[in-house]
Amino acid sequence: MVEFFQSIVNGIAVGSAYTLTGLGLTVIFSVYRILNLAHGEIYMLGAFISFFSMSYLNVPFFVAIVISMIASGVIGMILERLVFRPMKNHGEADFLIVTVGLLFFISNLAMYVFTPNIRSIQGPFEQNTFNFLGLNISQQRLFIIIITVILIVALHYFNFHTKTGKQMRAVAQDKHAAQLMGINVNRMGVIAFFIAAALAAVAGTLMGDMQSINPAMGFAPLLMAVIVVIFGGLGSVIGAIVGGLTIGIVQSLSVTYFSSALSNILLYLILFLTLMVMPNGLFGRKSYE
Amino acid sequence: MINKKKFMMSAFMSLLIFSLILAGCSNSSTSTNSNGDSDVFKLGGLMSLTGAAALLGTSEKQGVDLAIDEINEAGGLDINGKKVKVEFIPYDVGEDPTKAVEYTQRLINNDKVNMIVGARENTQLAGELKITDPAKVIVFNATASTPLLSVGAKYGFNFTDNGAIEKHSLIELLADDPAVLEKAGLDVDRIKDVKRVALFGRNEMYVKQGVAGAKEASEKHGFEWAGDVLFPPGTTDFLPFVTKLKELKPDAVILDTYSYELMLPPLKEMLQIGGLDWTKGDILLLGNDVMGTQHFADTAKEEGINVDGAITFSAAAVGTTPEIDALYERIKKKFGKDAQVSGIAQTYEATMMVFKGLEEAGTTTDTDKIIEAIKKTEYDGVRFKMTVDEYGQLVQPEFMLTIEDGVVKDTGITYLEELYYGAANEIVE
Repeated sequence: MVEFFQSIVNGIAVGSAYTLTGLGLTVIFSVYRILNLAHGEIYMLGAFISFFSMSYLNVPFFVAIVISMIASGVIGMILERLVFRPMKNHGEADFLIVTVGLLFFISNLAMYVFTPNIRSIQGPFEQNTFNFLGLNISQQRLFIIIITVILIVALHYFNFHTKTGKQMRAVAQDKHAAQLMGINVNRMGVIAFFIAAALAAVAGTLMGDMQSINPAMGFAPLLMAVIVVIFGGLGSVIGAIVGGLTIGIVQSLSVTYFSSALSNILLYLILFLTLMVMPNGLFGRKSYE
Repeated sequence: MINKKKFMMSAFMSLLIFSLILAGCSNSSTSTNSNGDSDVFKLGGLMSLTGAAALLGTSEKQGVDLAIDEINEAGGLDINGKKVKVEFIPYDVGEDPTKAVEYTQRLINNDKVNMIVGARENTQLAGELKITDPAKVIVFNATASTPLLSVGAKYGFNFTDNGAIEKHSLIELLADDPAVLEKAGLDVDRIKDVKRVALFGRNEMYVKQGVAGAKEASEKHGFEWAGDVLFPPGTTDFLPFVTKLKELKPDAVILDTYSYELMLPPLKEMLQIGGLDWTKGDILLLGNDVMGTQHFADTAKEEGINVDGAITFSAAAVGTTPEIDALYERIKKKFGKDAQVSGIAQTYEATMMVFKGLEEAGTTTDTDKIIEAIKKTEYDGVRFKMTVDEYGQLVQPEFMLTIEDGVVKDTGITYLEELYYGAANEIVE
């Protein structure tokens, strides 16, 4: 039984990181109706900004995260203005191709500028584990869960209790109606990209601390984040949360009780079944109605 | 408007014709003698110069560049008394298997090569060899670690280990005489406590080869095979997989990943979840040749990971010799002080051995003759005397290493013939 609950705890810890990456994709989709496949590259840039902040500016880990959030947010805003806004009258396929192009452009540019060398972010976490009722969780994992919860609450507050957040929700529900109501849709796009990039920077830094950073690090988390948001429902914050946690837990349980090598197969099987039964994901349809 | 269109079309056609003339000129610049041997020997290259494997791919290219430069500076290859210059035609295949196939076809059909160095990824090699073997084009690599290039290809050479050979060496050490281990300065009690062996790695051909090697060696020497945990490619979080590893209750764990982003995170998880902490004696940590580099030990230390006590292996003894120092100096002089010297040296030596085989074959075109000549060639490498076996597999010793006080040390234990059995000579399905 301990094994089962330990798997659930592991799944929540893993799922929190997926959620954090998936949230950024969700925020952009809610305003722009596009799946930004270059999101993983912002995740990578965020990790590098934190790394360079700590290495060259000698700032502490938490200050580096804030710097990275702001700097990545600004990069997100620039991308919105230079790449996405000029494309806003194009079809979804064009957008998708542009995001793929952007993915390779940023990734190869980073490979050239940063070199393929592996670097590491030195977080403040000790390599010790909290033990509760026989269940273990590391200090670092617990911190990621806490940060994810804080950011979810902050995002929820922004969406439902601020004027800008409400405007952004209005754009997400009906862009043309929102425009008729005098909401500046372009401004909402800029803000969405800032928030998404800032969230990606946090995720990249935290995972960069736990793992290591290199210019190719953005693709695998992007793939997982895409699964999370498609499963949870594109554009739905609650979908990203439930999707991230569900996928984390399913992955953890499948590794524990089935074959570790088959864990991704089970993951995709669940994704296919969900899409067949609920094409908009778990929460996608509700959020658009 | 029409005139402008006509002008653009004419300009485009002129450029096209001009390019074709230039291409024709460049092809006609290579003359051929009566034996079909050209004044220039073209060596093709399929290398991962971009993407996650760019570090290795760049080292590979530099190794070939160095070998070719040295040969050409000396006048060229000596083919039956005639000097033949070497021209290198490398293509970047990233990690894309379709690119490998596309460029293989281009190298054979357009560039007219009959020898290619690379690719190194198994997925790329599988497609490449389907084209090269029927076309009698030789493929070799010094960093691929795959049996595809030896038992899997008639016209292939694998100039490094292949997943199974090196796992044999780790288990061989566990089973070695306590007196030998003690003389090597290893913790004999810790090693002799090992009853159950497990392996952790990515689900891919190289690791499956390693699992087969480790399992058969464990059974051969009376160890219990605790099992393997193979995570799928694209895994970003290792926690569930390391937890599964812990449940296997191993006494020794072989970490069979070979890139830092797949080595450091699992090690961190192993330290954090408890029960797999080698620094506290929970397990004996066994690693590969990447873990056996000082650079990895230093990087791990920077990440707060102490790999002291780990046992690893390498194709080169740790202690330097004047020959190794001289080669490393030449590499640094050419590619800078940050050059990945050992990786560059590995490809350099493989390329030089192949060139020696070409000279001994006395031909640059008859690939059957070249294959036979390379198989008979002995090359005095700076690490060891290089030869290949009947399958085209480099016969290389494994120098057993350990890490002590953050420093990689040679144990003085070396294995060679005893490693070449079972999965070392077959492709594990």
